[in-house]
Amino acid sequence: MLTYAPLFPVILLTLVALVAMLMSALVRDASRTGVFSAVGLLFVMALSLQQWGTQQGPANILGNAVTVDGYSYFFYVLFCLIGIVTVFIAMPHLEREQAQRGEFYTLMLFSLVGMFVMVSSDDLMTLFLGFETMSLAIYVLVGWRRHQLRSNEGVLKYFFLGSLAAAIFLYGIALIYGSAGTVNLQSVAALLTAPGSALGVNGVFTVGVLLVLVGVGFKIAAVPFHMWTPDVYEGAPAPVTAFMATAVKAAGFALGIRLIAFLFEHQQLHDIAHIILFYGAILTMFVGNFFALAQKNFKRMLAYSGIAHTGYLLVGMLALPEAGAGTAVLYYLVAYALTNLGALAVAAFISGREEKFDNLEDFSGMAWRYPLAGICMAVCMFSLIGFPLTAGFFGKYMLFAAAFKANLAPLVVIAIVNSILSVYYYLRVVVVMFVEPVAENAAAPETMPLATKAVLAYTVAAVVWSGVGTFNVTPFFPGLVPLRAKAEASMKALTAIPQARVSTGTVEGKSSAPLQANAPLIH
Amino acid sequence: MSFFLTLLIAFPLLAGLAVMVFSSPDDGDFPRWGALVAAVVNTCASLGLLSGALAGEHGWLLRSFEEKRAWVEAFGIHYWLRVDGFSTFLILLTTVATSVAVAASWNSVKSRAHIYFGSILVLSGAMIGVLASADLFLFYVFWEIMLLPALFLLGIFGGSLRRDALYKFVIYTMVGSLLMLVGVVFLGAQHLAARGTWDFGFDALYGLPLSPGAASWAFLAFVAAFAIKAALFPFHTWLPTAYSQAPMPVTFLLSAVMAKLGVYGLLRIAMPMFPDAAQTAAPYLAALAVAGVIYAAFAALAQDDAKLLVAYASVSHLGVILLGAFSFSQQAVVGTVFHLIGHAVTTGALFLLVGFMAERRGSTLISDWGGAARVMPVFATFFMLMMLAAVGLPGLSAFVGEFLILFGAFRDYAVLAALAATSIILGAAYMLWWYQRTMFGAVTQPEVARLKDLTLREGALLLPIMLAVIGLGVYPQPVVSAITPASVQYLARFGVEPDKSPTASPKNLEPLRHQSREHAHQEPVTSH
Repeated sequence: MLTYAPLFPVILLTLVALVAMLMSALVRDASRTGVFSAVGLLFVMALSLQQWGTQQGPANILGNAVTVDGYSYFFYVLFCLIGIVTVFIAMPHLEREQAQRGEFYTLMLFSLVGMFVMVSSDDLMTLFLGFETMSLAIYVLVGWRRHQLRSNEGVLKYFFLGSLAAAIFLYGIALIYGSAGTVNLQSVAALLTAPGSALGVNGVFTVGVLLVLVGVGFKIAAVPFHMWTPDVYEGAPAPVTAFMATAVKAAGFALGIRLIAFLFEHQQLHDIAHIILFYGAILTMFVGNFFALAQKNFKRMLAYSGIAHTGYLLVGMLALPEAGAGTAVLYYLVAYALTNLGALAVAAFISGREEKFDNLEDFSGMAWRYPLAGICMAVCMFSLIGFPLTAGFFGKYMLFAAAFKANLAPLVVIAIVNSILSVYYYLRVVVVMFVEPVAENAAAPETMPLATKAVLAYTVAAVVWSGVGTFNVTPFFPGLVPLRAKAEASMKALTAIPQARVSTGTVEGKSSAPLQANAPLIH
Repeated sequence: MSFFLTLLIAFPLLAGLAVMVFSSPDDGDFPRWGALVAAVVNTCASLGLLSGALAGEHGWLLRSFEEKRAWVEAFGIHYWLRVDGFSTFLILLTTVATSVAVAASWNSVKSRAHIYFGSILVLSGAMIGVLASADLFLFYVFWEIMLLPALFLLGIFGGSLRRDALYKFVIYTMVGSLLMLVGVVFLGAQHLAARGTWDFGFDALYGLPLSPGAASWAFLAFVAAFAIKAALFPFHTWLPTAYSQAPMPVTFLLSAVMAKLGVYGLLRIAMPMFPDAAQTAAPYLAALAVAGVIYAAFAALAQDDAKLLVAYASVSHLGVILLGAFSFSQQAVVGTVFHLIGHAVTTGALFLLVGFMAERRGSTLISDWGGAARVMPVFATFFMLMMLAAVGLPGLSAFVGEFLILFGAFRDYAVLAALAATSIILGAAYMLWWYQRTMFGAVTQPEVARLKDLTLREGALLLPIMLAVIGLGVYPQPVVSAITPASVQYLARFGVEPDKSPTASPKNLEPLRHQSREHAHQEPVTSH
């Protein structure tokens, strides 16, 4: 029984999702399902944190199909956090849209189950199950406002392209299985590094790996697989956009990091991936920022800005062998998630009923009408720019420092050039909200619901606090996931991998640093 | 451990936030009074630094203000504050300028006064933070915080073209700061490579062995950040629009202090941390500075708007200061720091006067004026004095610094210094012409005839500035000798020996030389 203890968070989450499903059928007041989901997620988060604190190394269970390690726990906590905030954004929003249904929360919980499975699977098939569980639930959520044309367009695009990506992903798995004879990641890694193995130079295997990467690239919206993002972000209800921009992207990166750690042990494969990621990162940054400059719709702008941030994160992934890059990427994901949740919570509130007023010009002067929304938006935009004393700044700083150490100075310069490009469109949001007079056609003033207030206050506090204080204080506070623990998680994940496989050379040099409670974040 | 500097920074920051948060638009005079009391209290407190700078002959007392705590241990980032001859007077300047700016905006800000006065205090706290930081990371953080209140002051309270001015200002500044961030990371990584740990303390980064190729790029990154702030030609284009669109008291604060911080950054970070790259690049940068001197002087000649005229004049004078900053002689360095203050006083006063003119006449266009000296004689007298000071009349503050800079720069760059000296002629031309068109002649416009003379409040604001202008001009020695030790230490990083110069008497020099060496090798005071 205790062998399966590491699975408890997933099991508990599944139970919560199932109960929520029953509740949405039986309980008339759907907001109760929302509250139940939030509380349930809180329990899942507490359980994950508790297990994270006491775990001893990675647990390989179910015939090595599932591996739960510090890395997985890190994402469990992050997903739960995003889930809870999303529920709080969604409750007042759905109330206003008169689209309050229990199924919304149930679907969100099921997509979270998929993500949990994704970040703790060691086996390509299990991984695919998680991938699809997540995606299917999200497809429905994107089309939640089914009477709206924008929403329909968004969901159709997302569904077709997403299915295509899933098919490509599955085809890649098939090719890997065909050439390696196994879908277990540890076995594949062992085969790759075994002496005399020709798997790494096998064309079929290489194509398979690349196809799998395409699937990941789709989920994280890396160029050229980003086409769906703006339409889907615009068409989806704001809470769903928030959930996709943060949780789905984090899940995609979690997957990408794990695949890279396992599949690119072979030097030649590593070189190929390095080139692809290098140019992919540059392209993603530039495309994201240039298109974001031209956007008039706030959610579309955030979509392109999200693509740009994918580019920055890809720089971090390239630096991954460097100790500290893992921490940087994970920290960046948290910072990015917090800021996007805040920004989209503001948008969900001030764009009014049916989100008719979600163009940038409709936000004019809103900071004076809703001061808390103005402050929250300003903090989030400055965090996205990478302004000191916000989470985004330390994220960027750590990312660039790691990239510098990994001899990626040209990419750092390109990333800085892109950050400069991004200043304009983030600043524009702040200027519009604070400097311009109140828009004439804006939504009618309304009182801000308590849940929205809570979300805004929370994101402001979390973004600023992560930028100022996380380093010396270790707050046991949801959302301000302690940085030290984060560092630990990534270190554990990176050190766990070489232990788990047939160790031959190449890996040891990368992450042999022993894990200490007070180990420096970047060596 | 002293908390003095922390208080000096935290008090205006917190007071500013309190003014913003705890008062509402209909609180009447509360934001004004709150901000004024906070600013004046901080000004008085900052005089404590003066005792340190002047009492200890070699500035030793200043060391006792040092504070050092770990902030982010893993990255070697400290909360580390320290002052020396370079920063002391600039901090004083900041606190005084804040008080003056608050008082000068007393009547001109009608709505959202709490945001306005709160922002001024926050800006002041951030600027003091920049000046007191002894850790590169902390410096960077304060440097960036400075932008936020400036953004609000310009964006919410600026003139009709404020949006364009705002974008220009913020984007220029952010370009600079992001480039600086690369430099900061680079220096940290170099320290990691050379010494095995991350460290951002200034003392750890001075004299760091750097790889030459990369170092020159990093040097340029820092120079870009500071040159944009200090409006080095051709990065000056944000300045005229921002200065003419911001409310005049804010322009006063920006021109008197914020632009000076760019030069301070050059002297504190860019030059001494990359001595080799700095010495290679300095002639070219000095040439840019001189190009700016002449270009801006001609631009000033062509302006019809007094705001723009003073803005371009300010760019021109900043060019002279930058020429000093890119020279490596004792006189030039001392002159640079001295002129930061001397120029702040004169340009600041001119912007205040332009602000008063705008409040009276509703226009700062020179063609809307004429013959005002007959109507407002007291105003005209103050104006005359400030204008002569700005031109560089001997015996007034700007003369000392300008003379020292040109004298010192002449040794390194004879031609450039000679060219820069033409700014005195050109400066006299545009200033006197402006004065003549505004104040002299017949009163042709009925609006001018109705203007009121200087009020008591305005006179009270100008009086301390006027005293500073005359005081610094007539008796600069105490300030100069307080700056000297720091400049000797600064030049030692370039291997330049302090020379016998009129600025530092032999009595001062001998112990100084000794002391500078001590300082260079002494471990930083760390008491926890």
